[in-house]
Amino acid sequence: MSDEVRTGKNFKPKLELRNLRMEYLVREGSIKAVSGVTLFVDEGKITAIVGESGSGKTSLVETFLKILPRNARIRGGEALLRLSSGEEVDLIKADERTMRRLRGKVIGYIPQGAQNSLNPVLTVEQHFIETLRNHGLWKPESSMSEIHSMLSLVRLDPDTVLKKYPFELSGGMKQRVVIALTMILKPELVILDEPTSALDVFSQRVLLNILNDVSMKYRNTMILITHDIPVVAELADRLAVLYAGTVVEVGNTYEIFKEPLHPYTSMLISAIPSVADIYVKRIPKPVPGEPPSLLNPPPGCKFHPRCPYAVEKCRTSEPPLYEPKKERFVKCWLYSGGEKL
Amino acid sequence: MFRKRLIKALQSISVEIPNKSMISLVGESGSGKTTLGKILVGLVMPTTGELSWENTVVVKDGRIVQKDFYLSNRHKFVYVHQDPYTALNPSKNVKNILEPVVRKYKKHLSNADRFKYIRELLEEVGLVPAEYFIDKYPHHLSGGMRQRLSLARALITDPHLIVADEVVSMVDPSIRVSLINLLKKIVENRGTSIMFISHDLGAAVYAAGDNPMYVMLKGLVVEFGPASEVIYRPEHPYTRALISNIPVPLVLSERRVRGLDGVMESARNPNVSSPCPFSEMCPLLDSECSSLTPGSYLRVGPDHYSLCVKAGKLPKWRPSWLPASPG
Repeated sequence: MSDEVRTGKNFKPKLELRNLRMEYLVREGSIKAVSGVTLFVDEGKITAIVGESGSGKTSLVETFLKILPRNARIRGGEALLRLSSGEEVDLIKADERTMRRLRGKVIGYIPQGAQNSLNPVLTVEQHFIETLRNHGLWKPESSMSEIHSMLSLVRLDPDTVLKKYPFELSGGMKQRVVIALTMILKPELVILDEPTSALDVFSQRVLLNILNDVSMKYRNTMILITHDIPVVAELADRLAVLYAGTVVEVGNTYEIFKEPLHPYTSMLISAIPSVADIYVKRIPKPVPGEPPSLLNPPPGCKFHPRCPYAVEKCRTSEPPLYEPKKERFVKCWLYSGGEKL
Repeated sequence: MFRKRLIKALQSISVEIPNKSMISLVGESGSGKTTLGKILVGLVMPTTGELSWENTVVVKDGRIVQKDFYLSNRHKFVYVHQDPYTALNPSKNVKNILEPVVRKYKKHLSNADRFKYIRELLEEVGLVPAEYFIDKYPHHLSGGMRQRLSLARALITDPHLIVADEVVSMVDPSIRVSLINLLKKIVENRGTSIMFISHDLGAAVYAAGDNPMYVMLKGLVVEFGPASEVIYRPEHPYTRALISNIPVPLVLSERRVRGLDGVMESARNPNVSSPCPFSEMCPLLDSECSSLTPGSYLRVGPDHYSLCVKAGKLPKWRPSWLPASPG
């Protein structure tokens, strides 16, 4: 995207990641989990970050939330968050006090498997009260009705669920309680890590509807991290495809599915076997090879060992992010005629 | 070729696995897929019913009959586990994982031939170049590679049947299809039969193709038939609901989340009690459903059977993600 489009009158991304880099130090060397990620997250939309295991999806989020394990080192870049108050914070430079102020109230994060993080000795009601009190938002006169409407939004019956302990709820119900707990603080940015995995087909569909409802009602910015491309096809407005720690393609979900530009995106979409195959007479085609090791990533474009279009240039130098079409960004030399970000 | 029948955790299930083909078994967690798979290879004893290997009854009503035949043949009926991260000994390298098994089941091989055999085996499962992989430890390998190694180990006994339990669910989406293609190649080249167990309907259909697919729910098989037929013309409300509600990698319009289709979110009609495993969620539940008998199926097409008492009379249907005009 040309900067004038973005920095113009009224269009500023909620979150702006620029050239973010992070490594894990391990005995064998360093794992380049996030290597130069540039991504703009639009306000009020659902942006999905998709990638296979080890592509650095969770590491990316943990980097700008600064909740990394001790062997992780941030090697540069910025993560600019624009608050509704007009304040702009670079999360990478922010100190721990600022981060504490933002976490929960401004940024809600639901890690993978969060449904197992409910306290087994507290009822659902006590969870809500504790959460609101700890953030100084508990109002005796109005909070209870807010909790009720929030639980209804996630399609739980407040009267029965509030008095229950986590062990009395199913996995899908606990998941929804966690979403309600996050949303009760009205965060401006919500990040959900693999919210649909480990759910059966019907609970997954209900959850997709709930997330859609929540996004429509609160108009908050959502980041959805997942490896499940079909889920993203329905729920996300925008899609960022991650490969080996770097964003290879960003754009509108519909546009990307209609016409994927990066060879990896296109191969990934056609590699997924689906029940729809029988109806549309499609045969899934495997992506050759395996994802690279991030300990010794290949030089140049990280996808070149698996790419059918790879030329000499791809093996030696890493392509920049091009914008061959409006609002479509691709990190691939095939589009070197396009505008550079 | 193999047949068995049992009740309770699994109820009135009969499965026949044809020679030299891959069939698939789908169901959500807790539906009894793994239990059924383990029964097929003799790892779990059914309370009642029979298990036959190559037309010989080996297990009957929870007891092993034909003990000699069972013991001398059970290595021909192998099981490959879901999790490639725990199925392999982390302190042994590839050579040491495979070699003891080769020693046991390929006694005639000399030392040199044994290594040649291991190399060929690695090449067969796509771990090439074999020289590169032979001294690697499991932690050097990706999930897909480990799954290939687990398969290589299972192939050493030249099995008649491989029960592949969720072998693709823990590997990356981009390499799932290549793993299934490997299974297809094994069926084709070796004449092995494979029971492909998965909760992923898309993968199960791709694996079975026109071979049988069994759809399980709460310990019962609700529908079975040629996989492509079961998906294209499902004749059980559960199968229909599954197909309709699964997210598919097709985007037909701007963001549009489909609602729950063909499923009741909360139980209705408490007056009807039916042994049907889908009765609590089925929108078509009525008094007719109480006459259902587990194990008795209605034929709805060539080799295609449904447990639903309304099968064949179900309303016209198409998946909610399919555009209105037939394409």
